Amino acid sequence: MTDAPRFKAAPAEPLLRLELWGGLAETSARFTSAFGAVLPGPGQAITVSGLRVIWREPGAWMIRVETGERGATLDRLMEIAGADGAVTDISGAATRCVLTGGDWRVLLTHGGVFDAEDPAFAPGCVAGTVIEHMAVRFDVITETRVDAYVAPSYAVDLFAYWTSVARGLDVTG
Amino acid sequence: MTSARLPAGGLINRTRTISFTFDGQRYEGHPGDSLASALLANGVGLVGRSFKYHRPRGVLAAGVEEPSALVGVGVGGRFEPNTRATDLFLYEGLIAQSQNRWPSLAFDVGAVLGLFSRFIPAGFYYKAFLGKPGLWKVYEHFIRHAAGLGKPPVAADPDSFDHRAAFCDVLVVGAGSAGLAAALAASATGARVILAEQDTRLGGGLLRDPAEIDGAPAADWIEGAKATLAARGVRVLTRTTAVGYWDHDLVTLSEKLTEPGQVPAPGEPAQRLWRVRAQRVVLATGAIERPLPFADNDRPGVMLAQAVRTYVARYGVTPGHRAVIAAGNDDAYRTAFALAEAGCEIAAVLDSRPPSDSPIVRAAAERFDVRFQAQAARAIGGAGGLTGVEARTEAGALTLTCDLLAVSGGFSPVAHLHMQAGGTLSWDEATGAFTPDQARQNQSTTGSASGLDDLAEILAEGWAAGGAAAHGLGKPLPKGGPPQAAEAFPGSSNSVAALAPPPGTDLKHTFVDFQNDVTLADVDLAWQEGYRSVEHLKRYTTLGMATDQGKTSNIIGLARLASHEGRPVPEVGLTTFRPPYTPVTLGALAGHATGFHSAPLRRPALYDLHAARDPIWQPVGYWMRPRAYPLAGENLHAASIREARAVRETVGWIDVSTLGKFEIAGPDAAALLERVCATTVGKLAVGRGRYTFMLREDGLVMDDGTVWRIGPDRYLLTSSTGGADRMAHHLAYVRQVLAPQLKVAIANVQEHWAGIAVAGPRAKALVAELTGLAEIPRHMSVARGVIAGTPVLILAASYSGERAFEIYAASQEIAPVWTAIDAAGQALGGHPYGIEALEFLRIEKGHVVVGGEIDGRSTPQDLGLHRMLNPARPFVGAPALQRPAFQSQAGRLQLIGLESEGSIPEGSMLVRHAPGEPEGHVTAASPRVLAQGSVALALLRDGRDRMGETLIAWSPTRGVSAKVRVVEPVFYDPEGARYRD
Repeated sequence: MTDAPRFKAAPAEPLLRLELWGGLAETSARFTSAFGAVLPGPGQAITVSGLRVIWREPGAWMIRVETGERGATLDRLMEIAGADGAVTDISGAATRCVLTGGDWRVLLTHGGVFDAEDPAFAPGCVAGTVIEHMAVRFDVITETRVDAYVAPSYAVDLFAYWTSVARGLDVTG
Repeated sequence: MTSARLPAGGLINRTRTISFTFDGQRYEGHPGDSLASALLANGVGLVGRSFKYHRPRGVLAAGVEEPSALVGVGVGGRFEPNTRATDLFLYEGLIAQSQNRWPSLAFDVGAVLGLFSRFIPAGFYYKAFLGKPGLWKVYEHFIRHAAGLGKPPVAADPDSFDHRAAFCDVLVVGAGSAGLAAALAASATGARVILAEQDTRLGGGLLRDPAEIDGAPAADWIEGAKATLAARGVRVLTRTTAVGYWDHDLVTLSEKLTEPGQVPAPGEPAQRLWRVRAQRVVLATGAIERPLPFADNDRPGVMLAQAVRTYVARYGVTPGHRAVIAAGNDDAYRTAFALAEAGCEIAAVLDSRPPSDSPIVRAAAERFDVRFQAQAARAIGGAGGLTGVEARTEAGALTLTCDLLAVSGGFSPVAHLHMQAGGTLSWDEATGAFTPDQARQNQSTTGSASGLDDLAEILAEGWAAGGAAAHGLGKPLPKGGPPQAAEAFPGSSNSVAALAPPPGTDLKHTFVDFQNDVTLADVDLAWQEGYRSVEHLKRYTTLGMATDQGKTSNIIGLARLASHEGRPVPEVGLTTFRPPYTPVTLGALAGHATGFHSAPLRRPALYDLHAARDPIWQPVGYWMRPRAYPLAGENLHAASIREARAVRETVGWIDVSTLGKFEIAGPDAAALLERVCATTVGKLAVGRGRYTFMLREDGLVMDDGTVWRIGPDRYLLTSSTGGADRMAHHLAYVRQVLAPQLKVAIANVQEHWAGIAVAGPRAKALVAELTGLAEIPRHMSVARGVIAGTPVLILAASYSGERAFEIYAASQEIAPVWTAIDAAGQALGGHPYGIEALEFLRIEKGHVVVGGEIDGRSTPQDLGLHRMLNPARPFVGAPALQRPAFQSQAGRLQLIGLESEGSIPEGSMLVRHAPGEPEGHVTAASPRVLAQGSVALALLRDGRDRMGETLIAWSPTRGVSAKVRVVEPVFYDPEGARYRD
């Protein structure tokens, strides 16, 4: 019996980009003071105060506003960034696809080059890779759920590809 | 040859019967049969005709090395030529047909070529080209007709092919005894292990030769190993061939989920290409038995000795009733015993070695007629099968009656992957074999592939290789020890090199490369004609080319060349081992990348709204954009002219969401932009924008766009659709490499902002109506507003030459904005327009475009943009503009305009007289939107000094030309009055 992955596009939520050009320690301290958690390090993501904070690249994070108002969150983050960085509204720049089911790891090995089956790629881990020429970013939420972010222009083809693969998913191989 | 199914035995499922056809004749076999074994079981020994001389060919081998038994299999798009009958497993309804014969396999007209073989030796076609050129017209038809091995399918492959990635600590290639032992050892340490086996079954040679391992029959031990590996989570891939070993221990595996020609299960792919990134690779790829060189050694009924055992033991088939064994090793004696056990008469064993005292030889001598220092000299027979063998013995020549000749010329370790990984080989003169030597990547070679031939040693070395691979990654050494083997005749096969034919052999009929009909005489001829390099020998004779890549032939050919050269084999060198190891279907390489676009399509946020209008689509890079929105009865041109006129006369709107867009924020944002953009940015006031362009470091124009100051420390930079990814990289390069000290953040907002350009004399009224703004931004100014409840950013910019606005909203919120503009615009008499109309408009206005006028060779001066350059020259590419080649404008292609009364062929060359020397070319052409005639942009040598000249725009490939006048490259409103209030 397999636990074939299921997936659906998540409703659009505000997305913000926090990028620092300096003062990482100071900004992280201000972030901790405001939200009670440190900014996640490379390859990590956290959920804090209604925000999913996803490490994007050195000095940059993508922040999905799960609960709360976009403008207020943006203002608060700009305050935290202060003179050390900038915050940009990038809402709509990525479509989030929620994959559920124990075999999502198998699905993500198709058409790609990423070791999704590595047990170390566990909840709280994020990674960017390419699936069938499309840039995708994975955010492991639980062992049975991963969020995939893809540019909306690619979303239709990526979902079609996953639908095609999932139909005959070989989880025994 | 009188092959037949044995009454019992084999690893086939005799309780089920499978029907298949070969050349239209219906036969039956059993699950587990290969096509070759099933044909032999049905008494079919003639399987195909050879490529060049159309000689009758049967089955030589039992695996992927088969050079002769090639068939076409399947129908329609699933038809696959050159499929090895030995590597094709039977399925219900299999349809196979022989190749290279007409009208039938038994009576082949092409066989007459064999009579003329002396006139068509190696390289004859090269020599043919030395004759009178006109003769080519005589023999071209015949050569083209004869060329090619098998026929390609004429229909598209209907199946799908999958690509999959896998990672592991240890990849073991080959699941014979060594591979299984390696996988057991590696997995015992807790390592992540993948085991790939090209066969349908695990076991390799254990499926052929009886043995006991750890006290159990080999078959039981294999099943036990399989269960153990499964319990340890080892990924075992059968019917999966490691076809390529690439850099950084990337190994590609080709997995056959269906057999060639077979219809896959619904929704299932036919094949899967794995890309395996391994920390360590253990190559347990076995060895390939070589044939012997003697006259007519390609006759049906001459088979490799191990292959004969395979047919007996694995498939329950005896390939003949009376056999001669010819070999130079102990291993072939096992074939004599196996055949005898199956009821076959052994006429003689011809052993090329001196008398041997090994146990298996002693046992054989007690049972069979064993002759030492004896060799096969000629196979006797024809298409109907083998009837005998001429032998050279110490006692003289003799003829033996037989219908099967089992030969063994020694063994070639399969070192292909080792060599693809950059390894080296060492030569064993005694056995006449290359074995893997130094490894360049993280690979090791074990078992028969490393030159071993004793089962106990193979198991021990395989175990050690697997354990060492895992241990090298920090895993503990595996507990226990290697599996223990017991055989009736253990020990080495004492193989000696048997690479030369018996004295006096008819070399013209002694085949080296069965697939290409290359004989020893051909090799000799090549050497006589001066081909000393093995690479030249290969190309001249075609030795080792074609689908088998010389798996059974290369060493004999090399040895022949070496003997002529008087040098050891290693000194004459080896040809390159290139992937794939065995042929790979092109579909497997393509995976999902097939069909209309062969790549993912990028759909703009407004895609569905466009699709509802059923536009003519245009791929722009990966993007899919509307080219035009034809009304009933309109073609592309009519629709585009109508749309362009709407922009000139009333209002039009177009989706510009695909433009590259970047938000650049921070106190040093202007400083960064002044490095990226070749125009001045620093003095831009908040709320204002300007046209800009960017240079590469070599000073050539890379892209263009606009830059807008949308906040005190925040800018929006736009660039071309096709150049968006390149611009993202360029910005990152400048930010991270050239100016890391700048306090600036860059966000790629290409898909955050979706955009609609509204253009035309009524555009301002439309924007005013929709936004309710009291003050509409003037040209190159910014405003914010709300349309249909959606916050929008309004940039007053014009690409069309009319008063225009680019209206941006977050992409997920853009649909109602489009709908509102569409409704209000139509009420004003306007139309949406596509990129064809946009092209007409921009050409008239003289705006350059990336990929057209900006073609990677143009400087700002060439394009007339030099007056806009930032005089402080802080930008990327500024130093390169000082180069002498760019300082002088003489002889450079410069942007100009062209006018004509008729149409101007786009892409045509500009000449003074046709035909003539090209002096430039037309980059883009358009009809005049509101008048008669055509205009074009072009790049013309010294163009700016040639205003008023008349030239010919000439396209000899299309057979069209037009008389054109050179004019300034702006055809519409040169003062720019129309986009200013």
